Amino acid sequence: MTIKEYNLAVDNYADNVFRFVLKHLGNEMSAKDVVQETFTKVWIKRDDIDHRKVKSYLFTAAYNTMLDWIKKEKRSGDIESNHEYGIENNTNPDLREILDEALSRLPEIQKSVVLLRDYEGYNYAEIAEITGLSESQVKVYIFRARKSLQSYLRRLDLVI
Amino acid sequence: MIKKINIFNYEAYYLDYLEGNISEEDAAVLLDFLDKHPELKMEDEELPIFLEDKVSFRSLDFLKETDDTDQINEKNVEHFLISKHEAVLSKEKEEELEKFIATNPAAAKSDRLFEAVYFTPDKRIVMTGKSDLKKEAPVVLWPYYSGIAAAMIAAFFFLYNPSPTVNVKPVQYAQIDTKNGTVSSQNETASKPKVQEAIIFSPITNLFTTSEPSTSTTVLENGQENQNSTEEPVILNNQPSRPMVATLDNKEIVPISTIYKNPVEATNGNEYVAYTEVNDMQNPIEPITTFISEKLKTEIDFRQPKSKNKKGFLVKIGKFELERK
Repeated sequence: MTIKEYNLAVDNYADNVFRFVLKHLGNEMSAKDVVQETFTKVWIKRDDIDHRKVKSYLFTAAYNTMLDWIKKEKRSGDIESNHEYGIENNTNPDLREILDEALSRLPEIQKSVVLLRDYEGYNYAEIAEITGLSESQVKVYIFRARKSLQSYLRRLDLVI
Repeated sequence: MIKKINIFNYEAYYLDYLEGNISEEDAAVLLDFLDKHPELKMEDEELPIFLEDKVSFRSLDFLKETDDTDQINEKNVEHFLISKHEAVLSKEKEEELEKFIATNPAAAKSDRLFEAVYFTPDKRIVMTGKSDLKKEAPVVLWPYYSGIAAAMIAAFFFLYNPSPTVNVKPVQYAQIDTKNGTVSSQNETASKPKVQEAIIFSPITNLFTTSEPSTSTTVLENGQENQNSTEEPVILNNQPSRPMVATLDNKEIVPISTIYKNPVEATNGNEYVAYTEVNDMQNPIEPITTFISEKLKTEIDFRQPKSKNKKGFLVKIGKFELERK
């Protein structure tokens, strides 16, 4: 990958990666740190990366970096999630807030696969490649996550 | 049968009574004892309640996976609803599901809830300072440095040599005895030049691809050859700017005026050293050429005669060399 291709990847995917990480961590500064570390990893490995697959590589690196960050912060007890970007562009912001709350209650792996699916439109095979899971595991996690989210909405007796 | 009940053993009988593992006779004995000792009698709220175990395998149903070919029913409808919204449901099953939903209001409600549990990215959220992530291509400066160096050298040359004249000097040779491995300097004329400073060095072994001891091939400066022996000729491997030239008494000779190497480096014992009178050349801008050489990692040299009476110059930039006498 050339410098030009790398910079193009920054233009095309930095926001996507940032939104993905931010949704997990709920903290802008932490999300920026993770994204910067992600791109640093990509820059170091640029000679081995095919620019046509850089998006997948970026999300893989971001996912792993994020998990490392979460482990580290959990150990130090410094996790601070303020969900300052909780309200999304939606006709029903209340529902979005509720869904965000429901999402935050999911295990990290389920959260990741759902966001990769919904935000980036990855199929199960691509998500499996990014997360290091098998395709069937991805499907199971997504189904469980959908069921959990649906159950959360049902408990609140929301009228959809 | 209870033989004797007292405050020390009554608990065992009491527990048996509560669990229903005691005969009616024993129960009567126990109750009689408790009537006599009402302080030992447990109230209803103190008694543990053993309810029927409600845990069943049904609660572990979530661990089971539904087969996509199963008939849709109330128990597995959620799986098919998720599959529908995940767009992984077959056409046939989707039709079956729609029929099921139409006749089942609870499934219809679930369908609407599952439709709502999808996330869309908020494109208004962007990463600030994204430009900090970008990298700039390194600026290739060496062409500029080369241009500057060439301009400086040219300017220096024309400032100090407004009208250079040609000064032809005798051709210098290094005479190599491949038998003994000795080198001596010799010029075309009979008179030996004044030798003061070594500036031309090269290992003889590097100059030749073969080094047959008694070769007597003669290569004249004008390109003519004079083969005095049937043995393999010596071929220059590292051809200097001038051709290999004459030999005397079965000794090979090579021109020596165009090979440059630091004298200090050349005195390691494995290299032969030839001397010439080119020592009367000097580099008046040595700090500049050294600086440029280091920056460009290319050999830059500029030499002029020490004597003001002599004219000429020599410019060397990497492999490019310009000499004027």
